[in-house]
Amino acid sequence: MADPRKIEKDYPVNGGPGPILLSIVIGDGQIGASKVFLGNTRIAKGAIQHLPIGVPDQLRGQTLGIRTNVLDANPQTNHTSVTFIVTGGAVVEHDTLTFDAPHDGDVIPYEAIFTFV
Amino acid sequence: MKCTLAFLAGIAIAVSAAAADDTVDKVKIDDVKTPPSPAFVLLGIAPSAVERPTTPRAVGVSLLSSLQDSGSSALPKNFALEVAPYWLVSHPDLTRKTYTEPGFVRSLRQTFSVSIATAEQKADATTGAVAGTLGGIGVRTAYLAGKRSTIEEQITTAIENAIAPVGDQPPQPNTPPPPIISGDSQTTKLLKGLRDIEHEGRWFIEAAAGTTALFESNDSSKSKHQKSGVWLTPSYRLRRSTFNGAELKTAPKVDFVGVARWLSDHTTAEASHPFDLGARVIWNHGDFALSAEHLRRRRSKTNGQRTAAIGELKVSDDLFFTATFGKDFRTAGRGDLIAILGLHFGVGKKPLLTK
Repeated sequence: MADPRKIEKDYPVNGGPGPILLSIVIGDGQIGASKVFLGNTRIAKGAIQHLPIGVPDQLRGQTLGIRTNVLDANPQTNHTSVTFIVTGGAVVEHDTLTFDAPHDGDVIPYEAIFTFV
Repeated sequence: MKCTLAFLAGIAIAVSAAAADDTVDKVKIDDVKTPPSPAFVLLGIAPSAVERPTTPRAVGVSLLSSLQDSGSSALPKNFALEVAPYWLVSHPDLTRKTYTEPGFVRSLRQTFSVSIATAEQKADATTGAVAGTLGGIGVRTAYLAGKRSTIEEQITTAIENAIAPVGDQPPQPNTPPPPIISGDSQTTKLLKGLRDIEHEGRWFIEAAAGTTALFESNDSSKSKHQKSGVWLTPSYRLRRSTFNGAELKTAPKVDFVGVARWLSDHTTAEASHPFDLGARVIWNHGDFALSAEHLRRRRSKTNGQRTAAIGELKVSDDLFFTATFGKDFRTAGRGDLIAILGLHFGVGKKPLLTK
């Protein structure tokens, strides 16, 4: 059974407007921070909004890795959620992961891996 | 005008339940503030077990189990439920900024909650009470005005840095993500600081309404209105804290609180509809708090006003020393001067200071 805190997908880079961009939305009024890797190289950290990853021809065959930690900081709910949005390729990839923090103040790690094809 | 003065001094041990007491000589600002659960306050109960479901399924289970527990009666007995509909489902599009700067309508939606409660009433020949089930329903909402302060944004950034994933290793395919992190001391400290200052420099306006009815002989078709109430509590906390990038430095807190409450009470032989209006300023530094309050009651046989200055010292987590001086509501048979020294244990009325 797939882990609700992780997603692994292929992303078709050709046939879109390019360049490839990444945004990460931390939902449910919570606080989060991310690190973004292209291959083994870290290319960004913190809040990610329309981050340029590269042009399709250079990216094909590479892997975009994302590690995001979300703090359950909202006293009204223990719901946490992260939405990964990849654009510029053939489709707009919009993937939301959700998980309920067991305790108030927990930090929930999420991960995403997109392989550019 | 002839004034009768009385001086009351002594040690009082407050062990009263958190029920609403609307007797004019006992009403204080805290009784008039918007309650977290209006239905419970109007019923005069402090339920020990309140169902607080956080998913739609849990709401269904709570309601179903309450009906099963009601036995032969059509109404559940001694049931208490509080639910915030907005938070029953996840909101992936709700960013921290939108949540903390919600605007008027979104703020009302985010803070809207419903409280429902029932309580068994036994027949009592001395009071004329008939056997039945008391039922109450209340709603509550709030508006947090204005924008986040610079200090709130700074603490949020500090939290983002504190919780950022450790190391520079990318996620590995086909392996589970790292385990959940609980109780990290630095994050906990920053989060506490964030919650302490989130209302500084902003108006916070709470409103609530509720009503209760008596179902005689537990018959849902025989309802009799008991009490209704409407509350409005605007408050403002001065912006006084500072943040040095790692630690929050809190200055003495200064709060201004206004209160307005209208009640309609049909539980007595003659119905009453008092309207209370008041204000309080609170200075709070560590374990010591000073406050001044004024409260007026209108539309009642016992119209009057109360003005008091209150000092409170936290001796331990469960023990508070209080001193109250001022002028109370004038009631027959006693004077209106307040001069009370008290020791309050950690039960009953909520002190100004928190544990």
